Amino acid sequence: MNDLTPQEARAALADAGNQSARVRRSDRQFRSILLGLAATYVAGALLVGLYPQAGSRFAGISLIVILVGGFVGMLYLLLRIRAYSRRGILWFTWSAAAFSFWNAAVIGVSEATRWWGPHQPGTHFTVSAIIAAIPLVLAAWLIGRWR
Amino acid sequence: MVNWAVALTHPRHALDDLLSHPVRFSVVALLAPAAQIEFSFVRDRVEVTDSMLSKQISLLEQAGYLKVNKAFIGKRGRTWLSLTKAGRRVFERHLGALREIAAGDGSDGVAQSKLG
Repeated sequence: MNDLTPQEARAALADAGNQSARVRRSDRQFRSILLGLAATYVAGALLVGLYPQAGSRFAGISLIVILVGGFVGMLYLLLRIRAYSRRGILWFTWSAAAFSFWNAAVIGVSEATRWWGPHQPGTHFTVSAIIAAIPLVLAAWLIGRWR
Repeated sequence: MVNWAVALTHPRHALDDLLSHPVRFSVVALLAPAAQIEFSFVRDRVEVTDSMLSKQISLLEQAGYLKVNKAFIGKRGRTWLSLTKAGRRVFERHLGALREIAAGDGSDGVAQSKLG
């Protein structure tokens, strides 16, 4: 039963290689989710930076549309995932953790130093959001390179 | 006194009988690099019917190679499959034996193919 010829063994190895590549390709769904999260966050932060303090009706409605649209889009992509590798979920989790850690650190320091208030310019929030998006974009780029 | 113990050195002895079936081999090869895969994804990639895949999955599950998790989102159920540690170990040993057999005729091009 197990008397395989070298040709049959090579065919089985090639099949295993193909199956493995399919899982790696399916990890690219994480790339879309990470880029979606980064785009949503930076777009929201840009609006807050452009319209600090009281803001405007346009900014308020746009922010709601961006956040709700981004949330629904990411939820849709998450529910569509049918396969993921251990490496893919690890990169996704670590980049999301780095994103959360940076945001928590910025909020914590801003609150502690009473630096974050309505009298402050909104640009610092935009800059912080761009930095927070770096691990998401980096992970998306790395995941996109997998073959 | 004669020693009847024979050292089994041919790589075919390291092949796993359960993984010698092409569908089961493809299923395990697909699951090997994955954390989890949904049933329908495996069915589509391995190109088998639901009943055929269910049968092979039951055999792999009984052997302790594979875990089946059922999750529900609302009323919609999703079946997720993953390899156990034992399943992963057996698959690695099986792959090693295949590589040795593939290299048996002096050619190792495919045997060195990147997996996982």
